[in-house]
Amino acid sequence: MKKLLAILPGFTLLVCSALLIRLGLEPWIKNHWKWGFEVLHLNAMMLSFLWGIILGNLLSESAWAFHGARTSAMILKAGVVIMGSLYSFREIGKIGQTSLLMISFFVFSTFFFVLWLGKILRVQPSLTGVMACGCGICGVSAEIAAAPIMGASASQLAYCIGVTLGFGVVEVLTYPAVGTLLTLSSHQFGAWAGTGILNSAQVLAVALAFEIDPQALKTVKVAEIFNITRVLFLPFLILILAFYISSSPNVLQRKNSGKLVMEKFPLFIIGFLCMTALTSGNSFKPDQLASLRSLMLWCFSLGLVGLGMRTDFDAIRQTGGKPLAMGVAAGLLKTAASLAAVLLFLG
Amino acid sequence: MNLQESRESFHGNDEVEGRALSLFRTERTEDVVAMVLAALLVLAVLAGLRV
Repeated sequence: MKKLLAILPGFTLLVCSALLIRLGLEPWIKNHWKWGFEVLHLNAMMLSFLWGIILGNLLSESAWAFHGARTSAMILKAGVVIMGSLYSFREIGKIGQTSLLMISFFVFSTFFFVLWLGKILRVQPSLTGVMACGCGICGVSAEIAAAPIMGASASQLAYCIGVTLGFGVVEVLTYPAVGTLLTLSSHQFGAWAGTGILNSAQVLAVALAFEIDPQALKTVKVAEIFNITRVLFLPFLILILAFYISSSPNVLQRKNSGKLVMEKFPLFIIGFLCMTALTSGNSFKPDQLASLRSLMLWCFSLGLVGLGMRTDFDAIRQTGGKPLAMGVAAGLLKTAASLAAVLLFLG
Repeated sequence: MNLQESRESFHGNDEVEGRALSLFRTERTEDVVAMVLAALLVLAVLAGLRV
């Protein structure tokens, strides 16, 4: 109860911000600044994220605001679970074939590239492993999952999170404009965002910002399937990391490997698939699906304000040197290579 | 360093984990709460809520 009361003021701030942006600011920009809306993609989702960054840095000393902001990852996941209702299994199968091919290539190549770079730059193996997992799979969540396996210290984890989120901010601001300038289709942009962007929540922010058709949500649907595909790789890369760090491979018993994979399995994906099963079984009427879509967008809007608030520029500024070089090199390479792959194979 | 030792060495980082990402102690708890919240919203829609 005490915890619930502690998050209430910050949570109210998220709700008020989302209301202000979705009902006031977005319609105003849409009507008065067409270039900002269409090229810079200053829609409700981008505005929520940017407003969150401003709030987070204005209220950096206010603990009450941050208790509420810490609910944002959970709210975003709830939105992703509801998002499952937008798909049928047939659609997932269709997008999933492409995503599995692309994602398996990019997850493993980025992962091993960062491990290799860490060796070349002589960065501590624990920090390198955490960074490799973050850059290879889905950013912050993967880093937090990898940190205990690698025996990383608190400051090493904070370093990796700083790099991922810092690079992610640049990605959120640039991807939609680049996509528009290159006239990428919804499918191409969704695949690029879902593969190239380091952090899951920022994949969502970018895809929602780029979205051309707010009713069909084509970009978001493709981006999220790509993102979910890579999240599913998490338990297996954690397992590889455990072998990588262990001085004696025999330490990791068969029983422990299975337990580790189960422990790291992202449970919310089961919720997403349950929703898809309900839609595939025609459990929802069209007006119910419209309301679910709307609730999902409210969840994303609230979550993105919170995500923006948690972008701490001081922490990012302190992230210097080799970890930054590793993260930026991996992020740039992944962005460029995934864009090339999308243009070559998904034309 | 084996897996068990590395897990133990991270126990002191729980605070960072909480501050960095989420209100919840573990990712799994967060996933469960997110699914419960989503289920409540879906039930509300099935019960007649229109947004």
